Amino acid sequence: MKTWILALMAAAMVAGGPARALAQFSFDGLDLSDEEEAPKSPPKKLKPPPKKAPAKKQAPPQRRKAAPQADKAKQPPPAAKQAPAPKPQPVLTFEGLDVEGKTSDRQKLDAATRLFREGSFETAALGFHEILQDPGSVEQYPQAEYLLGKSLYRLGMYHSSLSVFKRILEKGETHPYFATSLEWLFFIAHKATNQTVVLDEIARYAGASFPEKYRDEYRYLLAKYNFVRGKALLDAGEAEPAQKDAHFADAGKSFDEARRLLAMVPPESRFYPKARYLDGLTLYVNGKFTPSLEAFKDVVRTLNPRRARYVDPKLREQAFMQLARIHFEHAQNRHASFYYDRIARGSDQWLQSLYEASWAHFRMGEYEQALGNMITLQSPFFRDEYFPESLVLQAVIYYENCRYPEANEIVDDFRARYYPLYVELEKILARPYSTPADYYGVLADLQKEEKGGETNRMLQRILKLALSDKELRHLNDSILELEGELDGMAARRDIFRFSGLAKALGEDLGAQRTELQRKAGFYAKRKLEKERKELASLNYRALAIKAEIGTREKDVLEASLSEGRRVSPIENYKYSTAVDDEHVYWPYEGEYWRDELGTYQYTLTKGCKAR
Amino acid sequence: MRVVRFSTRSLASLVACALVVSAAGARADEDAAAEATADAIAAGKVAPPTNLDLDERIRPVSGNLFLKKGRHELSPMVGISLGDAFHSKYVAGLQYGYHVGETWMIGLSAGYAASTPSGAVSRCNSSGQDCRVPTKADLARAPGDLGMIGGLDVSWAPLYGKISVLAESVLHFDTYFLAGGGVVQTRIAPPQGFDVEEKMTPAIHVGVGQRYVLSRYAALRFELRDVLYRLELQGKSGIETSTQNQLVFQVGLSFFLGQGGE
Amino acid sequence: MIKSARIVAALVCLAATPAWAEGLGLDLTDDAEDAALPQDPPPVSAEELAERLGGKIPAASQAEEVSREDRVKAVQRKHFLKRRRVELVPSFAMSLNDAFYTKVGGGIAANYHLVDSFALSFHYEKFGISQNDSVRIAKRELKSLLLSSKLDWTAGVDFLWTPIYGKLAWFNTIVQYDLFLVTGVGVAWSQTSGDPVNDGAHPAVDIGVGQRFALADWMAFEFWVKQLLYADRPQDRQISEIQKVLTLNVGLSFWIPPSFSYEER
Repeated sequence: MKTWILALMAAAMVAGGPARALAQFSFDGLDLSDEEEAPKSPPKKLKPPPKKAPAKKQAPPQRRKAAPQADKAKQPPPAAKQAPAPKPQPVLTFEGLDVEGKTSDRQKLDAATRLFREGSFETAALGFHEILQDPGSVEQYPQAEYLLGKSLYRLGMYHSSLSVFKRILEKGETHPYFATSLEWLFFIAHKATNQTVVLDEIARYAGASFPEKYRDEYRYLLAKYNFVRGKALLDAGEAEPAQKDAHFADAGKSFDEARRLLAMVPPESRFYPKARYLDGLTLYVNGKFTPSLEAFKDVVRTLNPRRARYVDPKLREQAFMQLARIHFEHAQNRHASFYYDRIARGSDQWLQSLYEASWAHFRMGEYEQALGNMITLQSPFFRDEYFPESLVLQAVIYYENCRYPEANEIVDDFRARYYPLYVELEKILARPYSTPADYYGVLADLQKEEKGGETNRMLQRILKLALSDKELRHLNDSILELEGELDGMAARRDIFRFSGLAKALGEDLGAQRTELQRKAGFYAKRKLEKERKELASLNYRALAIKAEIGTREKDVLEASLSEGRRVSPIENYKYSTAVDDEHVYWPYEGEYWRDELGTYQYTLTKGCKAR
Repeated sequence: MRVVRFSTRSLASLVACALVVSAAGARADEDAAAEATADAIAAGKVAPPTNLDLDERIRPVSGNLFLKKGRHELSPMVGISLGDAFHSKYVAGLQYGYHVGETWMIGLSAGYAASTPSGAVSRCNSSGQDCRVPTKADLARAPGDLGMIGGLDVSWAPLYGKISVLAESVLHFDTYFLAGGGVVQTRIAPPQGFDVEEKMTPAIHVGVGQRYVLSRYAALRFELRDVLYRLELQGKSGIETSTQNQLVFQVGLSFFLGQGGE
Repeated sequence: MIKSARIVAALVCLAATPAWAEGLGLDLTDDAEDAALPQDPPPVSAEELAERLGGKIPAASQAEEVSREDRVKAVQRKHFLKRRRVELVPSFAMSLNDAFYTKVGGGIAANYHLVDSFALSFHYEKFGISQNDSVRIAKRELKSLLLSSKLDWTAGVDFLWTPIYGKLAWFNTIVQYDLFLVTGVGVAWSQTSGDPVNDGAHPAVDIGVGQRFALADWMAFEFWVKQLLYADRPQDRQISEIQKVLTLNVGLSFWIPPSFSYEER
């Protein structure tokens, strides 16, 4: 009798056990979707290196999550300004579970998993961490580690989540969650402000089999990694002449690998435009200009808003800019001008395109358009934009037309505005810095300075220019995001805040931040030094123009003396106010109409150029 | 060969564990799949291109050639009435306005209307013969004979523009709308009466106008003003109070006094 | 193969314009959501900038005196091209100069724009008569006959010429418009055209002025004031008189084809 009773019980367990297990893992009511993107905190200010107190606390990116049942009773306390007194380690408790037939570590895992399912990600994370600290729960480590990574992701702690998934990946393909962890790498890459933090990881596992739906993205990212590596090797080759050949050879291999990967991205993929753009850059760096042009044109065609499956106006404009620059470099100024005209008015590339187009117009002798673009650049609305060379170009145009007083005045204006800036930059760079991260702090200090006057305005422009360096800006974004995660941990419940997990995550994030600040310092130093060098060069050119003007004026005076009458090289130019049927003409009378910005033309009525 | 026997219970546990592990794996994939779906949706959204936000940062017009704020405007005006059934009027007047802002003005207006029979209608005898232009006496009980017109109004000029007349010649203008109240001197014989009575009647003014800038201190002004007032007239079945609409088109030269804002 | 000298040359050339040399002007990011850079709030107008500079706008220098003869102009594309497009304009019309019998109606016009500033228009308007209270007063006080031409419909061919363009700022928007002149010939049909008088259609001429505001590539708002002149002998009068009907017309125009492209750079 006992036998059939046992059999009945066994049958009941077989039928009921998995059913219960399935029920336990039912995701009904669990919000797994991510319909609403976590708003990314815009980087408002640079953060100084760790030795200085942070100026501002950034709220962590908030993720919408299902109302957690267990967390309703307690609200997270406000962030404390000072370290609170140490409290005893809180103890996790779980509601009564059906633990029949399970080991205790399995029970713990199930309990934590249930909390994860219910949306109590904080408590779940603590549970998983506890399992990982328990030497007796080795069998549960893989799943606990994986779920810990997901819990941290759901909490919006992407950098912390990345660390966990990195550890899983380091264990290799034998880890049962290796493949799906690769997938989570991509999720994190899409959520994090700066994708390059994930790039290194993706490159490290280049040999692994990535999920099919991410293949194109993976190839593109890996190609980008190789491209950046190649560029860095080229820079290193320039800096170290003794190693030049070796570095250049390695760079070549990187570029070839990049191109090979990019060729594998199919045209129907949403990464195709980006892949072609990167391909264009790679071809350009390798000196293959015509194929590079074709690649950028392909980007433009593919992203045509009238027929493109995918729309990326910013990338399309960048492609236009590259096309223009390549043509300009090869003295095909009309083609360059054509592409500059494609940049939409008011877009973030617009002012830059106006400035660069001025050079193209200058080369073609179209001084009207060149000077007209300067009017927009120097209008009151864009005075804070940094285009020092535009003044030099203006002076050159006036000089070419023998308008020496105007040219002189512009050179004087340039020197009055930018020489003090150069001096200030010299002072900043002359300070003794102990670590590269200190350079990063320089830019933060620039923002805090409240000196009035033209110099401070200039320095603010330098700061803005420095932050226009994309590598630096993205590093800054990552640092702010990290700071946000650290601050976010301090705002969580005590049970999390004072846990071993928080301590471990804090240490890890701190180390990541230090490394990012070191990199940012390197880029900041490079950028500031580059801008100083540029300003020095421009100052020199301005002086050269002034010297030339002096020589010409002397020649005119000598001619006047020898002829016994005033000789002037200037004659009246003929000009017309006619425009074609598609344009309208508005004389500028000092009044700025917003829609006229970027359409100005300056008509020289006098000069010495034969027309 | 040794036969390993498993108890039913341990078998059940093994089966249960296997099912749980596979279920967990399946559910974990579902979690990643759900995240992947959401990720794909987010990736499909087109981020708006970053731009300089010109339309948000910069006003449509800056450095206006013609500024009004804080300035006084004096405008002698002449005008004619429009759509007169009985009395045509030629109006001469003066308007004063103070510009409290670039778009808002408070003004006072005063004018005198000289009425003549309009010629739009003829007076005939009872059999419809001997038709001639009516005299003022014939029109004693016809509305539309006005004298003084005065008012206090507020005007709002939201539109500022320019017109390209010839290639290098540009006319700047603004367009304003006005509303206010005042009085109008009416001259009309009462219903059933013969003697013309003069009364000051409250009136409402609404209108639209344009100023064309001639210089920093002068502008040519055109205005279409509707003066609404009530009159007692002989209606179809007794005396009725009807609202009269008097349209006046005026042209004037505005002089701007004071420096106002920079 | 890497041609290092060419790359160096390229870099040097691009370094002539410093911003270009920044990473070869390359965007290595994959981030379509670049966060905005911290910025000073920019001046919103030239006046505000002058205030920031202490209320002073830099005085003209010698070179500026010399440069005053130079011309600065804005040459911008027309916001709306009309050439080789057909415009269909349903409109509402109301007479302005009749104190007794107001003509109210509507019409339709089809305009073909040969070039941007010149168009040919075929139009038809139908009117109803609205009698106002002044009729009763005139008949009672003056025993007036109030002879007037009761216009029924009018049709004709007009020429449109658009010599003037302008723009205006309306809150935060800039609206561009143009001003057109219209004149043409046609016919007017009044109560004397048909039974019992049977004068037939009266030859007519019209002249007017209007404005057009483009709302979209395919739609515009227009209004015009037009004076219609035709000869008529109302009721039993033997001698014709020139009738002047001044109408205000307001319409919404629809354009075919609905879009246009620029051919000039």
